Amino acid sequence: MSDKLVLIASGIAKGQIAQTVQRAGKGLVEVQSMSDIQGAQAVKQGKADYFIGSCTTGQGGALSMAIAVLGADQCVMLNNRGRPLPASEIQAKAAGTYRAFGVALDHVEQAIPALVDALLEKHGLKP
Amino acid sequence: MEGLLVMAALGFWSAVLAQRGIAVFHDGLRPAVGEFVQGRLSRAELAQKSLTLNQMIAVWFIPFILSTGIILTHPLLLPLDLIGVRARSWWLAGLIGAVWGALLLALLTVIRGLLMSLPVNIPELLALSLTPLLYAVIVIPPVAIAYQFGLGPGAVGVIAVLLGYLIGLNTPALNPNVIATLVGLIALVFFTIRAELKRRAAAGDEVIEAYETQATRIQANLPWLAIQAALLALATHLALFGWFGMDMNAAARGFPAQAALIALTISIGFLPTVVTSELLTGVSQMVGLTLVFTVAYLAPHPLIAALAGAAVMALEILFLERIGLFLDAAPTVREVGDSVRGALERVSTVALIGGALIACDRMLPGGMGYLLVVSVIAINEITGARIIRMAEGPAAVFIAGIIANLLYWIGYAV
Repeated sequence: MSDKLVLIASGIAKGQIAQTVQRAGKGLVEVQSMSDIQGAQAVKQGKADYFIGSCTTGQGGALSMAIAVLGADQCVMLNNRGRPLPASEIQAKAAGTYRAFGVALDHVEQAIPALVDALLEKHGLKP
Repeated sequence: MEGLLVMAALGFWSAVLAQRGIAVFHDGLRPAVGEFVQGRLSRAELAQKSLTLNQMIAVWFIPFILSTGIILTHPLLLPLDLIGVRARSWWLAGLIGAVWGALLLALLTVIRGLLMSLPVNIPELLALSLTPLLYAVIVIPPVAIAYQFGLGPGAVGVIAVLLGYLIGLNTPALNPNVIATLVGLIALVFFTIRAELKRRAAAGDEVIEAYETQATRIQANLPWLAIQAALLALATHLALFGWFGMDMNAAARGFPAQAALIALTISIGFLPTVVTSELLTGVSQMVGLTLVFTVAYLAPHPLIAALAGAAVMALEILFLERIGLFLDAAPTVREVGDSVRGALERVSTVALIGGALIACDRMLPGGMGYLLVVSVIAINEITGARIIRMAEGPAAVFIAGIIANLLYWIGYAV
């Protein structure tokens, strides 16, 4: 495992996601903005560790490409029926084998810090 | 009556397409339907999957619909996805779909009539709150430029649009918004091409890994989808139906050319992701590559709209694979698509909140309107945005409208 996590920010909230990841990652995470198909393929090829997609609901455009490229079992939405998942559930999802996360535009500020934190912990990078 | 028939026909056909796995509207459902048609997922499993999807977005289109009386894609087509993937036979899906299409229009007419007869006319206020959006949509392309390429190019885009607007003011033959919107789109195309050329010079032809496409299945369904496009275009041209609140807002005010350009702008946002999603799954988007709306608004006659809609859908399908290859070779275009959708959301949110403040002050003068709008929005934001931000403005108008009527009823003069 490298000393830095590489995350992909994609979809309509890519800007907010990238900024939030950067702030939450405290230098331990590298984040790149990309289109969904490039991002999903980067994860598949091992050039990046995780993919974070976004759309208005976190369910439509956010993950459809990641599902096609990585397979549905690698992808998970960080909300359910329009409500963001609580931090504890996000932590549980991050600890699993998922490599692509879908987030709703309005939930970026709530969901992303919890996700980044849990991923850092999972990889033993948390100071 | 004609309207009910057209909406019933559109509902019927959409539900049949969903039932047969030919097309679905919800982009998050398409991968699962793709697995279903390939036999890797049973109908029961597919139905189960469809339940986790967020349907609330359809509810938030209601204020838009009430203001104009035009039905939008989400409230019509999202429920039909759910009905289609569940129904065991095509005719049952079609029947429910037809009832839903006609019922939606009938309900809308009745509820709208009721709300308009109240002392404080809520649909009129909703329409008033959409006025800033009519002009704000012009800056979607420059805002997308700023999102993708930064502040400098974004500022250049805004200045270009302003100049376009001034030229438009001196061109009485056209709605001043048309030239400005067109200039914004041209600026977006310019910056996209410039960035893509720069990327190619730096990275060489770093193409996306090839994937197996399901284009043949979509091509085989061409006649089904052409009929769908004809119905979509007919309903849109007759101002029964619209794509998003933004294009419908212009169409409802009698500005079809502007509505067409707005629809084209939104298409830039959705087309790249829809193309790849269709190619990977073999399942079409219910509205195709979305260009049908632009054509429907521009057509001079309902029948021409239907024919042109079908023709555009046919072309979209015939060129689907080639468009996919082009997009794979030009990743900047995909990223700009995301930025356009981001800009669309941000511009609408701001314009609708501004519109809500203006409309509610008119309805509840002396400060109460401002107070109500701000409290609805601030409480929504601070408790986790249960109402999606894009719908905060219209929802606030709606809530304030109900309160205003209650106040009127208890004798408080407004």
